[in-house]
Amino acid sequence: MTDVVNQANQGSSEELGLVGGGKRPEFKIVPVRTLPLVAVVIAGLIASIAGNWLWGLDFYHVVGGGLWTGIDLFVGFVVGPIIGRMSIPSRVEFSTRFMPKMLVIMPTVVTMTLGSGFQLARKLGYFNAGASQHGWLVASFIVVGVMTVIALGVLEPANLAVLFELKKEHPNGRVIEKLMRRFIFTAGITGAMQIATLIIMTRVATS
Amino acid sequence: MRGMSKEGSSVSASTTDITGSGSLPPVSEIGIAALTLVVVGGIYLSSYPRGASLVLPTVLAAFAALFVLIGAVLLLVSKSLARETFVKVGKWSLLVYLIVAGMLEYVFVFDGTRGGTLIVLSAMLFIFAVDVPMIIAFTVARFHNSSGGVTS
Repeated sequence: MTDVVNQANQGSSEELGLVGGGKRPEFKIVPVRTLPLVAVVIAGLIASIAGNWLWGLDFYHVVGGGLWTGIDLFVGFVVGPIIGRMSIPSRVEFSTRFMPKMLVIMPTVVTMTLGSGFQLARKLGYFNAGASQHGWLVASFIVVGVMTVIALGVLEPANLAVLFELKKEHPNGRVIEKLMRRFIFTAGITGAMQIATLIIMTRVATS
Repeated sequence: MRGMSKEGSSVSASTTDITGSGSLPPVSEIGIAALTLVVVGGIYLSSYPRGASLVLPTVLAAFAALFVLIGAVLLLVSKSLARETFVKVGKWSLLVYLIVAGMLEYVFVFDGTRGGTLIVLSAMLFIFAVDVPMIIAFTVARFHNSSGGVTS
């Protein structure tokens, strides 16, 4: 990971390959065209919650949770290191295409998972302190709490700040590098929390 | 703090303070502390939705509200913050998180949460809905003056 930081220490627009012929792809910070799809997904979630529809809640929780865990681990431990070894212009081009999509995908997937999971636990009686799964449920709350603070307090603001920087006429490589470090430094914590989630959820399902 | 490249285009000097963090208050840190308190209170209440003592979550919510207020005051008195960017990002983030908090409030009411528990949860949701946009908008605004203007 140190090569990521060292390489990114070159800091100007020129070094980002954005001056003298280097071009960034045009992008929107929020890809508006995807929002109707998000609305459909969220509407289905609300309908499942309002109707206490067990299969719907289970579907949203399994699909959302699988995607959340899979994307987090894949991006943190496979895509992230690959990006770190790319040239800076390539990294900028990848980020301008990748990060706006993540800005829409991750909150949607997290909302699907947590909204349906909470309601599922309530419907199945896991909130009852006497339930055999109650301890695992509280453990999952703690894991989700840690991930919430990291995601909302550290990563989402950094994601948006990188996109705003890339929108500038002369993006500052040092700013982008400084912000991207947050993703590198939190990947370990997020990975550990996701593995804990897998253990907890498989225990809840089998105990 | 700009230099000129060979092509005549302006580029950011890499030796400057890129964040301006030396002159900006620690709003992100304060916001994250408030978010942590709200999350801990939420976990406690969600773990024991029936019959949980409200003392701990109330104290946590009060401290979280205090932190958010301190953050807001620091933002108001800060002279070096890019206010236009802060407001631009903050208002849309606030809208998003008010919707999220509203949905959560709906779920709590729908599930039959009432009385003091609902009041504490609602207060925590409101703090959450204000705090997260504040962190997001501040993070974007603090880097606003690091280089060139926004292209579109």
